[in-house]
Amino acid sequence: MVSFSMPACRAAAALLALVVCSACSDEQTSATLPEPDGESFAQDVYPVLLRDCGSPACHGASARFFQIFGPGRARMSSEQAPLDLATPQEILESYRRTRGMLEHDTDGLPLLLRKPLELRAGGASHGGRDAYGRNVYASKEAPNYRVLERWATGEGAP
Amino acid sequence: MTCRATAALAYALVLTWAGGARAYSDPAQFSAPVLEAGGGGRFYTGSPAEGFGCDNCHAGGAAPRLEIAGLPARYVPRATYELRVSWSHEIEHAAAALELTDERGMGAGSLALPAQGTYLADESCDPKEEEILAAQLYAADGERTIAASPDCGAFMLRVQWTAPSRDVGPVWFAGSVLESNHEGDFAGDGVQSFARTIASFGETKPDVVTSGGCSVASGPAGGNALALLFLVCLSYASRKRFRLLIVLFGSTGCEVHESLWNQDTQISVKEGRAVAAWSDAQVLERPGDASADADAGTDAAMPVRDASVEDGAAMDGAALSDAGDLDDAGNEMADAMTPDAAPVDDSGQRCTFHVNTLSLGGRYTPRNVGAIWIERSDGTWVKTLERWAGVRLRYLTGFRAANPTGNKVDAVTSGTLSMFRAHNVGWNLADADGHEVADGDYRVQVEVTDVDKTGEMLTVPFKKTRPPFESKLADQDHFRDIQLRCR
Repeated sequence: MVSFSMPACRAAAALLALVVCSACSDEQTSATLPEPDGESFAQDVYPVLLRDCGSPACHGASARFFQIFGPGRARMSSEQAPLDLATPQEILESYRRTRGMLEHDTDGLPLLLRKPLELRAGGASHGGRDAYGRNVYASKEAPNYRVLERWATGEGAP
Repeated sequence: MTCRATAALAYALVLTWAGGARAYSDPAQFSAPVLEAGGGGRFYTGSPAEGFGCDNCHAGGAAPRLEIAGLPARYVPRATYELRVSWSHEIEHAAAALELTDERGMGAGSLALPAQGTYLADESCDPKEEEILAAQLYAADGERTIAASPDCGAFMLRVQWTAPSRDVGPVWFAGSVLESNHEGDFAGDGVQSFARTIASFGETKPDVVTSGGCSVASGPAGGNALALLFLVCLSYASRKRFRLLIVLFGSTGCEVHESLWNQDTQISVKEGRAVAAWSDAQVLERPGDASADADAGTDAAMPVRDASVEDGAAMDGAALSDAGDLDDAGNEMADAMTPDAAPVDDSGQRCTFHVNTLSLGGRYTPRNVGAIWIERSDGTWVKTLERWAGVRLRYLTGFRAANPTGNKVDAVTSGTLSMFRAHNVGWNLADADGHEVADGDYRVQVEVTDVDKTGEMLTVPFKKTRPPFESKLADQDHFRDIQLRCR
């Protein structure tokens, strides 16, 4: 179990400093991708992805490129208990994987927004349908879809 | 990623990395935020509202075999049915969740748990002698109620379902049962999900469907194609029926409007759909509408009581009505949805005890369990006034020590509350047997906890005399507005 404590917070801050430097060094190789906001990802997008995408049978599975890590889902480290809180590494790696889904054609939706959307709403190429054959989001008006859309397009909070 | 973007993300990570880990041993965790390892409001019942069952996470084990009983072929508006899902006694660790929704995924009707004193051993947690019902009800979005049973030794999830007061179309009875290897992860667990439809009054049950070309397709419930084969077998046994069936399909190209009945199975063909449904339902209550009874389509169903059921009326203390009409005993879920509305339960009572409970800051806060009871000043048991605890009754150590009746509750009972709030409970100055207590020194006891251990106790002493009398206490750390008034 991870419990919040000052030593843990300092450790997280130190670790994050290393992560930030590491991420900065990747800047040149990933420059063609959008750079959506990290803070809004952690606060708004990451919970949506955990809830709607990150179950172990779906995008919690290690076989997927677009993999989401977090509590109650797939963990990055075997040392973490399944229900331990998300680690900074998990959120950052989830950010990276999600950012990778923002690549798209000039006039098309990025994969992050196209795949979970119903066909009739403009979606495509998603195998993750529920027991009733439905895709994750019935329309672009679905609240959680709007969260992803706002973040992916840099639209910002409503 | 730019340094600025990464730095913002890093800052956000520090802000969000707080709190404590949670355990899914409590089904309430499905409604907890995902950042706290919760389900974010997803209960994975496999219903039209959820879409997925437990197998969205758990896999690798053999699917447990289930027995489902009590499902009516059709529902009569406002009638109450007892529905059971049970699994083998050989399964050491199992958890289950179910619900009833309409096709859009909105809650349909109301669910209630078995009444206190009627618990079956199979639906109780270990140790069985404590008679702790495993099942609890949880409110979910879309006016839904989930019945869930944690891994605590139960082999059955039993609910009483009161059908909607109006026709909402077919109702889905869906659930998922998890057989866990108890290793604390998702691997090696078996899952069995089910989804059955209950046709509405005057409708057919779309379990087995012949579509445009008369080809038989398995409906969402699956498996009931056997019913059609059963019909064919019966038809061979009864040449008249067989001829009728052939005529119906052959002459109208499936656009037929007839039905056949036999002792156990209702099979009808209507507007291109061949429909089969078993009628093993037991109707506990049904409204007094004779015409509705006649057309109910549940020929094996026998009404147990003649009492009329008011719209949305609940059968048990832990019930949640579809129309939001809660009886006095339905406080738990009502409070979860309307936190500022403290229920008043003093109708016809001579005394009212009021207390406002505050968070103890425990692991599960704001969810909490607790009890309010009366005892003499020497500790002799008098009566429970309210109990809001299910499986976690075990952590109400003060209540359990004081109550000599083996936790048989003689007052309002509900499961875990989802927030701390005010409690208004009535008392008629009587003991558990209904006899008015003698004048003397007594005390109201309140116990609350939001962690898996003993919580906080409040003692409110009072002298029972001929009413009116009252007793007040100053605010305390976790209790406010403490007052007993008798008139």
